[in-house]
Parts: sequence; C-alpha cells; structure tokens
Amino acid sequence: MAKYALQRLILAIPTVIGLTLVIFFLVRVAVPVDAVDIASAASESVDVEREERLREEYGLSGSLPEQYIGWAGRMLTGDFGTSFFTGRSVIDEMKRRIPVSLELGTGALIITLVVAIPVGLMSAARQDSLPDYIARGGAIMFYAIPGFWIATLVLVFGSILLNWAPTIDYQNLWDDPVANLKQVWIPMVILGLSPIGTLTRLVRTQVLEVIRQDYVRTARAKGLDTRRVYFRHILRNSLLPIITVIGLQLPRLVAGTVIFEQIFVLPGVGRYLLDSVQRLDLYVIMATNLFFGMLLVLANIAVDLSYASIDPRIRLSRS
Amino acid sequence: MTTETNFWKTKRLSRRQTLRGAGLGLAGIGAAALIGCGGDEGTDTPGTSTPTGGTGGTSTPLPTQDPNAIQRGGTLRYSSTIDVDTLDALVAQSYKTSYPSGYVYSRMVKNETGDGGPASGAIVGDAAESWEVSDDGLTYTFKMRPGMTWDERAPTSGREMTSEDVIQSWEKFADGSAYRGELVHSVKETAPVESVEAIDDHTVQFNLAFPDGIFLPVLSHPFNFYVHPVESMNGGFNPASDMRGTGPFILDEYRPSIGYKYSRNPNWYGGPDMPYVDAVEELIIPDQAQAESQFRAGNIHFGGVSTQSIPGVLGSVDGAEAITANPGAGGSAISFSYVDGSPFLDDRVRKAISMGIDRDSFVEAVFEPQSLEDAGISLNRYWNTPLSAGFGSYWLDPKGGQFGEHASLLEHNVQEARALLDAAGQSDMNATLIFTPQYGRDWPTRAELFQAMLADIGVNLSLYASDYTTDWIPNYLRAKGNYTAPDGNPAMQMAPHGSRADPGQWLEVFFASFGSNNVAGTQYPDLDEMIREQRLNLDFESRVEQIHNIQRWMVEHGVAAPTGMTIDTVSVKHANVHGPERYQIWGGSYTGYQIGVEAIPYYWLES
Repeated sequence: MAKYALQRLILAIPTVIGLTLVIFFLVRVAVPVDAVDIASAASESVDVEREERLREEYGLSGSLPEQYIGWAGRMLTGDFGTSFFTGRSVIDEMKRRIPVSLELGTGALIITLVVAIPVGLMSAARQDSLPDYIARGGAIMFYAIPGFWIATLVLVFGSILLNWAPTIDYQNLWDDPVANLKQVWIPMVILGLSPIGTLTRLVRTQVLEVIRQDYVRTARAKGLDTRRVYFRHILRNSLLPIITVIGLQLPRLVAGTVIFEQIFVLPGVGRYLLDSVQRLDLYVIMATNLFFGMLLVLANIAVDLSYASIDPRIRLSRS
Repeated sequence: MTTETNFWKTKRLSRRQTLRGAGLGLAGIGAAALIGCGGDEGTDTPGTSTPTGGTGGTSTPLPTQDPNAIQRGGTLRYSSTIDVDTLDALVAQSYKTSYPSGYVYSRMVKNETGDGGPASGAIVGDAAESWEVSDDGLTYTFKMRPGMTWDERAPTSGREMTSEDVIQSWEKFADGSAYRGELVHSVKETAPVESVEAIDDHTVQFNLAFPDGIFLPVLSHPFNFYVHPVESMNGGFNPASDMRGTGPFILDEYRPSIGYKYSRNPNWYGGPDMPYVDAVEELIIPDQAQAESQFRAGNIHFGGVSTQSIPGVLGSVDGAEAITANPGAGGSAISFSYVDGSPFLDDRVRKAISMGIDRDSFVEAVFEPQSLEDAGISLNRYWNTPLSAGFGSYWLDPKGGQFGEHASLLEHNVQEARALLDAAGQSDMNATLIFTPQYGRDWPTRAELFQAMLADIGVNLSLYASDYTTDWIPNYLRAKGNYTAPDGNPAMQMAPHGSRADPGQWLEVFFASFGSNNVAGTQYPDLDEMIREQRLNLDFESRVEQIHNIQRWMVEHGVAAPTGMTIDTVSVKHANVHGPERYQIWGGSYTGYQIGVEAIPYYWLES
C-alpha cells in the first residue's frame, strides 16, 4: 500500500509542474494585459516613472521564461510573491484564508454525506414508494436550484419577514467555535444542497444495481439481518463510483465557496481570488489557482488510495 | 513640457490677488456654496481666517446640533463595500485607503464638515493650526497644531507630532504615492510643490513652483497627502497593516474582507467631548442583499441600501429615514475617436450627437426618481456640462439661463441634430459606442438608451461592451482619442470622470491635452490656454467666471457630449443616528451617511 501511495505521489509531480506552466502562461500570455497599467488605472493618473519601477519591483520586466523560472523558483522556497495592490505576502494571506474555505467546503461535504447516503439508501430500499418519490424530487430540486439564489432568498425573506440577518462578524473556528459556526452553518448547508442532489441519486442508482446481485440474495437467504445486508454487502460494493464523486466534490465545493464567501462575508480563498481577478493581481491569481489545482490533484490521489483500500483487487492488479 | 514650465513660472501675482486667493479657502468657498446652491441654507464656517492665511479645526458641536441633546457613547455600525489594499495612504494604488486614513491620520488641511445644509467647502486646519502665504503666492508656511500627539500605543507612545513627521511623510508620498502627480512638481510639471522644508520643529514650509489657485484644495483632498509618524518609515511598525495616527479615531482592528473597528481618540484636538461615539465598526459587505438585510434587521445604522430599494425600505422598516444631498463631483461623457478620416473630426457631428441625447428621459430611465418621489423624497435633477453638477457654483446650469446660446447644444433637438448631420454629409451614419460594463451595472442600459436616442437622428449605433482589464484599459482608456472600433465603424467611447479636489483640476485632468487622464484625447490649444489661465488665477469670482466660460467654450466646440445627467444623492439611516448630513469634498456635497469619514466625529447615537 505504501509503495502504491509513493507511486501516486511521484506521478503527481509532473502534473503539478504542468499545472504551474498552464497557470503562469494562461495568466501572463492569454491575458495580454500589463498588470501595472491596471494598478495605475485605479488612481486615474499616469505616472510612467513610477510604473516602470513597479514593473521592476514585481518581476515583470524580464522575458516570460525568465519570469516563470523566477516565480516557480521562489515558490519552491515558499515565496508566492507579493500582491501588487496590498503589498502583502501572498502566502501569508493564503495561510489565513485557506482554513476558512476548507472549513466551509469540508462542512458542506459532511452535510452532503450525512444527508445523501442515508436518503439514497432509503430511496433504493423503498423503490417507487412515496418516500422514494419525495427523495428523488427533492434531489432534482436541490441540484437544479442555484445556491446563490437560495442564499439571496434566505437573506431577503429573513430580513423582511423575521427582521433577522445572519451574523457576519467572522471569528476563527479555533478562537470562538460557537461564533464561527453561527456564521458558517447557513452557507455550509446551502453549499451542500446541490451535491446532496447529485449524490442522493448516485447512491440510489448504485444501490439498486447491487441490490439485485446474487450475493445479496444469498446473504438474505442466509438470514442476515437487513442492516447488515445493506451496510456490509450492498453499500460497500456500491462505494467505488460514489467515492469517485465524493473525492471530486471537495475541490468543487471549495472552489464553489467563491460566491458564498462573497454573500456571507467570509474571508476565504474564493473571495481573495475574486478580488484579485477583478484587478488582475497576478501573483494572487496564480497562487489561488494553484491552490485549487493542487486540491484537485490531492483529491485524486486520495480517491485512488481509497480505491485500493476498499477493493484490494485494484492494489494487486497494479502490483 | 518646457514651454509649460515656463508658462506656469512666468506668471506672478499681485499682492491683492494673493490676499484674496488666500481667503479663497474660507470666505470665498463659503460664498461658492451659497451661490451654487440657491434655495438651500448655507452654513457658517467654523474655522477663522486672516487675510494672509487661515486657521481651522473645530472643537464644538455644529450649529444645528443642540449640545444638551447630544448623547455620548455607543458603537456606530455601518456597511461599506470598500476593502482597502493597504492601510498606507502614502503608497496606496487606490483612493480606497483614504477612508481608514480619514479616521486615523491627519492631513495638513481638510474640508470643513457640512451641517445639514450644503457644506461650505471651506478649508480648515488639521495637522496645521494655521498658515500664511507669501506675497508672491509661492510659499505656504504652516504652523503645526501644538500638543497634537500620536497614538499612545508603541512605538509612537503619545509623542508630539513634529515637522520631521511631515517632511518624511512628504518624501515618501513624493516617492511612491499614486497621487503624487497632483502635488509633486518634479513628477508632473503641472503640480505645484517644488519642495517642503522644516523651519523649526513645529513649522513647515511648502515652496511652490508657481502660484497655484488650487494648491490648498488639492492638499486638503482626502486622496492625497496624510501625515504619518516617522516610526512608520523607520521600521517601528508596518503602516500597510497597522495605523498609529493623530486623527479622531484609533484603529483597533482591521481584518481584510471583514471590516474595521475603531475607538475614539481621547487626545484628538477636537475633544474632549468629540468624537461622540465610543467606537465605530465599518463592515465590509460586498453583497447588496446581505447589506440590505443587515440594515433591515437593525444591525447597522446606515449604508447598504441601494437607491432602488429605498422606497421599499422606507415603507417597511420602522424608523428608517431618507437623506438627500447634492450630487457628487463625478460625471461621465461620450468622447470621440480622432483618428484620420473620423467623421467626429467635424464638430457638427459631435454637436449632433450631443443634441440627439434626451437628457431628461435619460434621468427618468436610469435613476427612476419618480419612485423615490412617490415615497415622499424631494429630488432635483441635473444635467452635467463638461463639468460635474457636483461642483456647486463652478457648474453652469444649462437650464439656468446663464449658459448662453450654446445651451441649446445640450438640449434634445432631433430636427437640428439631423440638419447638422446632413450638413456634414453624415446622414444615416454608422458608429460604434464602446463602453465597459465594469463601470456599473446600469452602463449597458445607458448605452442602449443612447443607441435608441441616436437612432432618432439617423445614427445607426452599434454597441461594444469591452472587458475592463483586458481590453478597455490598454485599447481605449489610454488611447487618448486614437482608437478604432472592432467593427470598423467610427468610434465613440463612454467613460466616467472621477471626483477631483477642484473643478479647475478636473478640467485639466480630463480635458487638457496635458491632462494626466485625458481619456477623451482632446487636443485644443485654446482650451489648454484657458485651463492654465484659470489655475493661475487666485481671485475667486473671476476664476468662477473663467470656469463658466470654459464650459461654454467646450459645449460650443462639441469637445465631448456630457452624459452625466443625475439626481440628488439619496441614502437612508435609522432614526437614532444624528449628525451632519453632508460632507464636502470641494464643490461636491455627499451625504455624510454614505462616506462622511470626516463627519463621523460629529455623529451621536440616541439611546
């Protein structure tokens, strides 16, 4: 297992290098804009000497390959550059913001799992019954309705009908867990709604497929109780495609926090990315995209490793 | 630029002009507000003046505030969309840093705070207690306010502000501020300040390269020069993330993307009673629905309610009150491509475009004032000339009878516009209007309105929405009139003109050929000359007349088609907040409840 994990990690290295190349050249070549020009436009005045100095300071004056090597080299030492606008270290800002986005994304994923797996199982177990219809209808509704719209409705109707507005004075989870959860639980739930729809339907479909297998019939014929049949034989054998989707949900959820961080005033990576894109703060855009890309790479590795853990045949066939 | 330098430097003033100019910051400007805002009540100027300089700083309640009614204490909370990039105003790229700086730091001079009616625009002392102007108008000597102490926290530890703080702050500003071109002569020859020197520990002298009628307004402008402590420049603390100031408030906490918390500075010169509130919390809420829900729930005292939502809020939130003020000193215009062969090189075509715009219908469609009036709010409507209507007496109302015959070029006249196009051989012409939606959600609507209006005069207008970062800035904003539309049509662009400290500076920045942000790409030697002349004039009344004449000239020559039609500024607050409702950034009044950083020491909360 350790050897397999090591193989997967080594294979991730060229992926990460490719990721840095794509991010750098997309931002620096596909967006043919001088970032210092953008910074200067904010003050509505032109100061050529100052602009030249800024280009020099921010490492934008050499050739593109030189700039890439400089950027990548500095990243290896933990220096992700400095924001053009704030003058603050990008990595310091990321350290503050990553936990916020991960908390929101992970919380939404946990809510998704807690709701979707039991409901999907129940829906399959009671196929074509009223609860099944309700679960399937609800899943499609959650999947179809945009989360930002639900969030806006919560705010608008909460304030108009109940004279209520959510807490927006963000506190770190470790400093004040109660205050933190008071602010974060609503966006967590709303963010989790769409994946609940996806996963509920997937669990139902997978379980229905397994439920008709001979070994399930055999297990029932042996007299095993229903819970044991479902959790030991049906759910475990349905898990592979479900885990794939779950694994890919985490980066998707974290990336999906952009809009919710904006609406619920959360100081996460998504909001950092949004602000930086609006003003083309290059090093911030590159660092935040690298973060989301790395999250996807790591999620893929985790999914691969969990495959091997759940189904030894995968591990054996590779070796 | 050599010619310009000579031009600026060869002008000298008579003693009479200088003395009158020095009073500009006080009596003259007070008069400006009164002239410009007939019908509204003016205000007294809290500072006092001498013929050769000025003094200032207020330490008493404003005239309309009953001292016995004022209650002290409480935390004032409001929402803002402004998240600063840095707390260091001396190197900031953007105006946004001026907001927290206004709470914590002092400028040499500042604008007087308004008081219910239109603010006078008077310039009063801040870090400077008083100032004197030399006979030739080239030297301003500022006496620092005695006993003005920095933040009691380390490393400033309550020490007194000295000239050294001003000198080092100036050097940093002159080296790195995005706004240094407004003041530093070595950066831009149209900027006045040649050098700054300390006369003694509490006296600082600003030496000007030429006598400048707008030096004090520009120095007072919140975007420009703040005095920081030397400890922020020698490693004592990081001014990008922390503040140690002398202003009315102390920054307790700044959390990026979340907000700012300030507490009152007990040592502020306006004390001991002011600021009246113990603390201020400014919450950064970028989402409109979230901000409005916070206001409705009573979690914030003001801010966050869009103009369109105001009637609904007034009708459903107990104690919500509307406040109105003159429009801000900003505007917009349609300018033209001047590439070879462009039909817009012919002023008849430009004038036809201006006359094709139905300005009254535009106001009704974009700002929907009727819905606000239905909610009981009284509003005025304004047409900008090339100058913003927010500039008070300097703005020449096209509908006011003083504009003269060329006011007709701003009036909607389809027949005359068609005749002008026919005469220019441009009947049924094709053109493209370039704009960027990033300037505002309603900009596409504005463009569509112009498209429909100009169709009536035979202009087949295509619209091109440009992306701000990748297209607008490199290809149009900086093109200075030398651009083409992607579809090959004759091109026009619609661009905003942001606030400036002074109307003459506004005209220079946006329309002089040497202007730092001459988006329109205008190249008129006569206009340049008029703009230079007004700036060298320290006589208030004749300068107002000069600026009126510039507006007449620009409209007569169709320099740009002003599109900044607007209405009064409207906002809402909860009834338990009291204070000055207006705040002046030279010429333009704003409701204090929107951006009144300098007015906030006067606010008090009714328990």
